[in-house]
Amino acid sequence: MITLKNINKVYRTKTLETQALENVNLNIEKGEFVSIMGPSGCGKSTLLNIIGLLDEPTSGTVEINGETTSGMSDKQTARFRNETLGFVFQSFHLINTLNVLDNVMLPLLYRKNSTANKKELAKAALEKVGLAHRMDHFPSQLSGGQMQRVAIARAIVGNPSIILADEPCGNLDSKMSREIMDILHDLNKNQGITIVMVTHNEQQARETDRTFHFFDGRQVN
Amino acid sequence: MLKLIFKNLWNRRGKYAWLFIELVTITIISWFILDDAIISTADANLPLGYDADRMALISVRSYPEGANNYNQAESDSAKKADNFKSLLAKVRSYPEVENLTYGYGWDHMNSGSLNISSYPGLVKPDSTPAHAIQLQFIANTNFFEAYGFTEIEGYPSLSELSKSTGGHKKIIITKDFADICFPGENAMGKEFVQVFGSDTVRNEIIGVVGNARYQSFNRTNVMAFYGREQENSDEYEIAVRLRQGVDPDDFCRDFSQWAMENLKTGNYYFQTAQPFSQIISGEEYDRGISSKRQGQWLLAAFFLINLILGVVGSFYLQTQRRVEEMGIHRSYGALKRQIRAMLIGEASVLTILAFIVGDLIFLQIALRNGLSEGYSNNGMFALIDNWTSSFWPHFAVVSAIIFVLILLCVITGVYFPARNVSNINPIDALRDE
Amino acid sequence: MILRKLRHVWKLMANNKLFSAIYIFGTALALATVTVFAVVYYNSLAPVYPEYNRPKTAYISHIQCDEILNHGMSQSRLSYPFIRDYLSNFKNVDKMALCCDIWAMPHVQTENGVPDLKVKVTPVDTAFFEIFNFDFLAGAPFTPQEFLSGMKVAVVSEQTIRDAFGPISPSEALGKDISLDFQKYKITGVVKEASQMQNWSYANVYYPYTTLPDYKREGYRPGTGNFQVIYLTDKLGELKEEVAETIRRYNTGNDKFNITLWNQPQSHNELILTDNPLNTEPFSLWTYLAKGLGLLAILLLVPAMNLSGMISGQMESRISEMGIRKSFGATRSVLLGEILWENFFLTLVGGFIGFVLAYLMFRMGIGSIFGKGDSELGPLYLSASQVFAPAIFGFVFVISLLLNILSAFVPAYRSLGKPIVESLKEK
Repeated sequence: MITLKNINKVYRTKTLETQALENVNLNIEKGEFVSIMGPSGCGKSTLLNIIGLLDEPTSGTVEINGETTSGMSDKQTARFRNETLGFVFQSFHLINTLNVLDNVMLPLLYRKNSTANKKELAKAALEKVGLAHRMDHFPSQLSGGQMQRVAIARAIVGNPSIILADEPCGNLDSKMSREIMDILHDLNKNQGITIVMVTHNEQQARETDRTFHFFDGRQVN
Repeated sequence: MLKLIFKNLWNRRGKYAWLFIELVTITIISWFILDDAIISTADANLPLGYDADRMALISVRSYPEGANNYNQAESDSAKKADNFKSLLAKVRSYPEVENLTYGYGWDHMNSGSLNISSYPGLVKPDSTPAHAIQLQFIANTNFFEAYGFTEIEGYPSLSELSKSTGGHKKIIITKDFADICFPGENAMGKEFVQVFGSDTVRNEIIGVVGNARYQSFNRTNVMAFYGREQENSDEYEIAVRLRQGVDPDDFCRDFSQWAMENLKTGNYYFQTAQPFSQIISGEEYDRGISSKRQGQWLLAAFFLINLILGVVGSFYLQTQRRVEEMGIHRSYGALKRQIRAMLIGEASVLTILAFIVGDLIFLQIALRNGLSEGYSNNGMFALIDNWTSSFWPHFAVVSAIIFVLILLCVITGVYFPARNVSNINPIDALRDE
Repeated sequence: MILRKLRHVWKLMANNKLFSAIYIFGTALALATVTVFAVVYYNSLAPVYPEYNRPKTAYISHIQCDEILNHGMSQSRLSYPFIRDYLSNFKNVDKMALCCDIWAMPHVQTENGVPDLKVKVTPVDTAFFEIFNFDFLAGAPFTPQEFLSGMKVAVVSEQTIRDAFGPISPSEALGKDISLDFQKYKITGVVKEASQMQNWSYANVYYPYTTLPDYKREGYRPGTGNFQVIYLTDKLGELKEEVAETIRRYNTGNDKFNITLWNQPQSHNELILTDNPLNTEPFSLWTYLAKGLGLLAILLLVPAMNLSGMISGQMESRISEMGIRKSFGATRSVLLGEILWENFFLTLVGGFIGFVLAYLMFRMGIGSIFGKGDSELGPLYLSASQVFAPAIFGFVFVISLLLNILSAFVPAYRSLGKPIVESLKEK
């Protein structure tokens, strides 16, 4: 479902050239829950950004659900992100001036659903993460774990086939991390959503189907 | 999207409050400054009723007694009449001249001199006197044809009217003047009666011409013309009608060069040639009309430029603080133009709300004090019924103009910060915490 | 220390180019506009060349004569006979001058090969040059003898000399004849040209009104003619009473005509500020000063709101910086002072640019929108000395300071009130 072939990513400035990814080849099957591990600066977030079409590789191809993503226009990329992918960030990245329900509805803004339908879908997503009772609250009124659950609800509201999670438990304590991992496993097992997760945590990595290890931009397993 | 815009505005109301207040303030200030300027501009663009853009004014003077070039032998009335006739023939034969008329000193349309007469008791419905601008012309000089007044059906032709020598007692009036005094009737032969002490003066109407405005900045189209026999004069103003396609500025420049050498007969000499447009703009300047109008537009521009700066500054800072938010939108599929539309939408909605508030506040002031009436002269009224003279159409039109100006400024101000933030890479945006 | 502050401000500006540019341009625009108004009012009201006697000058420029029987009316300038008979012998007058209107501008026939030029001429008397202190670059005003005998002599402005004769010096022009509509006038004096803003004294050529063939003629109705009266007086109130009493006596003894002079003679300030010689309301300078301050407030209000909003926004992004400084010992008042200093430098830069902008606007002729000029004299320009007057410098400096305080104080004071911990938590 996600195929990366010979992916290279080089960052160039006036004085410096950094190879963030070197000759990466990956294949992730539909319905898999995979993790990416490695020390800081090894390129795992870069890899996630490339899979999530937030960044373009210097060379190589990315294929998702049989579609090659290189050469897509800005419009096509945006649509693809909106319909196929869902993002969960380490820092949650909720919009502080919108309440929980509006934050979860955000991806639906760029679709043609009616308002009533958007609300229904958002409420349903919040139910799945157990926060429907907090939909009128603002992010500043929630704990870290609750904010990350809202972020997950936002990621799944549009029924994406793939979730990309960049250290989703990075800013949470162990109890909250457990909650988040349970939700992710539930989404993967019961709804068949493919999940690619970047993590530092060995325990969390062991819970996934496969783990890719990276070092200095290269895959080491 | 609209709901999100309202939510964003409401949730950021503390930050946008000062901009809202500024927009309300500028709406009210714009009304005070621009109402008069807009009416003045609209009035100046009403049709003049004669072909000013095809006309030029040639000034002819005589050498005074004692001057070097003065010729005593040419000073008797017969010689003067012949000399002027000969000078006129030269002007008439100039290639670009189609027609001409001439008068004394200030006796031309849009001159600096104003003669107002009061015609009593016939203006319906309450028989208030009509104050009309009077203009005398020299009979048999193609006055009406040269200026290009409009002939009115049912009344004598322009060429017939130009022959009139009846003085004050035989007047030619403009159409609206006739319609309002004699509604549904032909005004030929009707009279205005003026009483001065023991004297009674009867002014018979011998013709009606199309509406004409004596002063370019004055809506008033109530005019009364009267013709007189020619008398000798030391100075004349010759109003020339140029052929189609001739530029009056070019004509005046070329004609002046030719006339300096060639247009002298007896003691008469050519002094200046000016396009009518210059006469009109000069008169507007001398009366302070154009200065006032320019000043008003400049002052409005000052406030509107400040508005643009305020919007740019405010939205620049806002978008800087909302980079992360924009990154999230982008990562969830928003296009760049949708980001721009959202920010421009926020600014526009804020503007609309503030404008409504400001407009309603000014409405209270306007209901009490009235709106600008434009230039008026000694209580004369314009018989042109247009949007400027009725309260609600006037209020609506000026509101619309001010709204468009303010909205354009706001959109200009928000466009660049919106474009900058929409172009930002989502990764950079989300890293930016 | 000032250098350190300047370096800090320079760094701030470099790091926030757009903010600084908008701030400086907004301030410059506001101050340019204020400067333009200040220059115009200064030149219109303060004693400037050649109208140094403005505080003591009063004018009668219009008269109305009503015909009692047939309700006819004329309103115009005054006639020479009426002035001579009724307005000439007041106790409370130090000097009196007359000047006459010429309705059609004559042409000067030039010697330097260019077309004839239109000039503004004012027929005057010798007292005119005692009330208005012209700077004679050569020669002198015409003498009382020349005036009384109606000799064709003239005092001409320096620019007109150059336009008429080419590049000659003022002293070379003395004794030459200037041709006005083919009538020759001998030049007795050359003066530094007044500005068009000085409505009373500005002209290109001054000659004796006694050269006008029918200057003693009465107009269509008594009192009406082409003249205006200029008084030099320390006692305007008493003079007004004398004039009013004279007019009252005239009207009482006349069953055919009624003369009105309204509130005239008017002081210079009254005439300029009311802009209405027919004004009958009692004149109060304080009312107009209040109106002027009101205008100033409106002109500064919107820019101050802009700057205040921007500073408020900018303070949000500097809250954590302020928190760090506070945690290292800075007090609220110290930080407030620093912020006000930073903004003051920015407003000074804006003020300086605004001043230059105002001067450029005058060079481009913006004065025309204020002047009651003549279209045939061209746009109203002001010279550098008229714009860069010390009083105006001082005024603009004070306004800069005011704008700075208005816009920066409140937002800075409010945001500095946040507790340190909260400030440090801000992103």
